[in-house]
Amino acid sequence: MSHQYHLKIWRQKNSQSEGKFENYSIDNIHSDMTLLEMLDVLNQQLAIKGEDPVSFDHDCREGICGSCSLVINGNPHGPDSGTTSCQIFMRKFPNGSQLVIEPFRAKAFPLIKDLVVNRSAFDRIIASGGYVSVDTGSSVDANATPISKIAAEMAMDSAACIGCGACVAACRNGSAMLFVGAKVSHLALLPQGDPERSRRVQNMMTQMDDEGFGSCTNMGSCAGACPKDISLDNIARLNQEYMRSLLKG
Amino acid sequence: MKYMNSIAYKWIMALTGWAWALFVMTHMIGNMLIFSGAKAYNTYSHFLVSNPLIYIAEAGLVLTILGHSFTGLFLFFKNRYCSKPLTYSVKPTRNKGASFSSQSMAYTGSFMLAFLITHLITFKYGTLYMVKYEDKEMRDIFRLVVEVFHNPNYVIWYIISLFFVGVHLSHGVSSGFQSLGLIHGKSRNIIKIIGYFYAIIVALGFMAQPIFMYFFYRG
Repeated sequence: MSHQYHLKIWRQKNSQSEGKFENYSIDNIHSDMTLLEMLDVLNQQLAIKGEDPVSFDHDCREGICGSCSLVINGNPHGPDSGTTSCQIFMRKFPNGSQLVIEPFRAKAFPLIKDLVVNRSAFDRIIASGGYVSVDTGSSVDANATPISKIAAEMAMDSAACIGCGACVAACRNGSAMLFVGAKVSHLALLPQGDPERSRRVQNMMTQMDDEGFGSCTNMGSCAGACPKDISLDNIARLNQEYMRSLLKG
Repeated sequence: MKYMNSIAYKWIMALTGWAWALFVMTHMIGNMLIFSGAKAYNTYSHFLVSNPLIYIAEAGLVLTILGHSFTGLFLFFKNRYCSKPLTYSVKPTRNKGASFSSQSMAYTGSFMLAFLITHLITFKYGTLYMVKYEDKEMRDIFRLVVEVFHNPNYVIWYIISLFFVGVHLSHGVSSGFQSLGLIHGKSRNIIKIIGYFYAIIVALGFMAQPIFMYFFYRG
């Protein structure tokens, strides 16, 4: 099925210049195309016309890398819950409908160009403690460290965070607590993460505040927008982890 | 490491908020004595204000409300600064889970603070009537309440204010559990429902008093 759409896309040359919406009409879009493929088609047409193509972030296009962003009709990662922008198919949008496509907006995510924002603040938060220091050497035996099924499942749920930043984009405060919560929870729930857990939560929280993210006010928009359905329990666990770190040191 | 990070602010908001949530609940229950008549109400009031512990309680309430208000306002402005350089041009079509009450906490809170000040002026520092029960002289606060609650303007203002108290509590009480990390998995919905009930009980309990006074009490 071939569809036609009216696109309203945010265009901005660079972080200094003023951006504005541009309108584009596009037809011959197959309903089984993904949203990003539709943007590829648009960019091809723009390139042929000698215009500047629309810049947007993408990489794996299978919903696991966290590169794609986009706010589609007001929703970070589009209208479906638990879906990244790259996994949205055009059949979701009725023929002839309007799609408003904007970048993620937050103070800590400065815009680079068009729909691309700089999310390196997340990398610096991870670098401040979102890892496990290990001794190098030959790999350890499987199951050498026993982990309960429940802990493994909960850690896996937290580890599902792909660090895309939709939580920040959806948050009215521009807070990154869901992201930090997921990263802290993932490692705090596992024995491998235990030795560094106090240092980790303290450093990551400091880094989050220093990067200019807002404070969480428990509204829950982040969990609603998360393409990986990271739950608010991760923020509750983060709050508890911080208290634990102060008590236990 | 900074101690005053986003989580520390959450705890301040949660603990001071809970202190006031407990206070308004006890205040509402105590005030229900209004239905038992002037003597019971005045004796209860006298018992409270003549108790030396009242000063500790009042100091605690002043400190917690100041902590809650200032931290809340600081976070409100900080978060506005950290938020969006530009707002989105379209409102989200998908339910994002953020309730009206959770988004309006700063506004309902500021309103409540204004209400609290007028409330103290009206009652605590209002007209001083005296009454004598068995040779014991005490303040006739009941008479003042009757007077005030027969003024339709005040009754309307009071009920509107209590509505906002309810809206504020409906997010605040359950939000405190989240802030202190006391929510895990399935307990989330139960705690949310408890928060709603808490807010409804406090708001309706308080509202019942001026409504009863205005429509039914002809003492």
